[in-house]
Amino acid sequence: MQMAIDEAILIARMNGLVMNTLRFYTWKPACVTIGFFQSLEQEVDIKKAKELGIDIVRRYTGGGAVLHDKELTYSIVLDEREVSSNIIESYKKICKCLIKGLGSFGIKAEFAPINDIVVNRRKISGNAQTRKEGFVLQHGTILMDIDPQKMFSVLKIPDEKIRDKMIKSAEERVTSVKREVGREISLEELERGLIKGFEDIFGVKFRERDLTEEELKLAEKLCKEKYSTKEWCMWR
Amino acid sequence: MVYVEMKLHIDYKVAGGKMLRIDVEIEGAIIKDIRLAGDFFIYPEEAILLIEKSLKGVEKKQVAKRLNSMLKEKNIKIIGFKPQDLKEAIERI
Repeated sequence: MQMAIDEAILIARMNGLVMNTLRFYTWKPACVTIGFFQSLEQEVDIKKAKELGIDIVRRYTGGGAVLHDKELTYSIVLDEREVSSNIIESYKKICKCLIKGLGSFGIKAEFAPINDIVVNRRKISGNAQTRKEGFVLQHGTILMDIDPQKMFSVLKIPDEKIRDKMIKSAEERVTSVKREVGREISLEELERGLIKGFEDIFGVKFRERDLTEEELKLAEKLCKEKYSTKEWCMWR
Repeated sequence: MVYVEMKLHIDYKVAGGKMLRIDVEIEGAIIKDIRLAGDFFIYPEEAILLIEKSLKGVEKKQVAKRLNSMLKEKNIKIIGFKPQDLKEAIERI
């Protein structure tokens, strides 16, 4: 449903029904999302995901597979003119907001092109963007905590023999808010910090709102007719 | 000369870019069919189908040239690999 809601907001924005919108969410149960161009069978151990009760869905956006567990997901829908027609530049601008937000917790994060945010070269956030008719949808994950063992039990590794090495290297290549701050940060606290980051960089103030009736209806339709279908999830 | 048809898969990590996971059917030096998967980005996304279609019947060594002209003609942007990377990946086969 989450991917359907993101797309519904994008369509509502394209139709002038809503303003630029920032949204935060988490996944229950945990979910693996794969990039638009990824092969589901190549990237995910479907049987293992089922065993662990983890959902799987293909995103509308490109990029890599993500296990959404112990993380915060954000999505932002806005007019392309607010960022840049240059795709990397627009990733950079949106990531700058997240970096500023993380900075309020003392985390010194940097943008790592193409679409990552890192702290001392360790990834803390992955991001993916699509564009439709002059509007941008970017969503991404901010890791709250890491569990490489779980991550690599559902995400396939090109070579099984290097599983242990991958887990070890993930511990070195990936970090989390908890690890960087040295204490648990609540989702609400992180959200507040990130909202402030977006407000400062874009020079705007956000007003809280619920999804509109149109967005909800469209999201339900997209969920039923697109994101939950086998055709969509298995299309490559 | 006799050509054998081959169905192949190759994973190719682009230096400074993304992972290309290619399934390709090759007859002689000609691409009969191709499917590109990976963690790259294409704008607009649906253009992947046009790209794959345009590479059918193309000689392996002409892949970069064909893809380049396709991207220009249809105003498609790829982030994460360049036409030359795809050519190199396929030529490794």
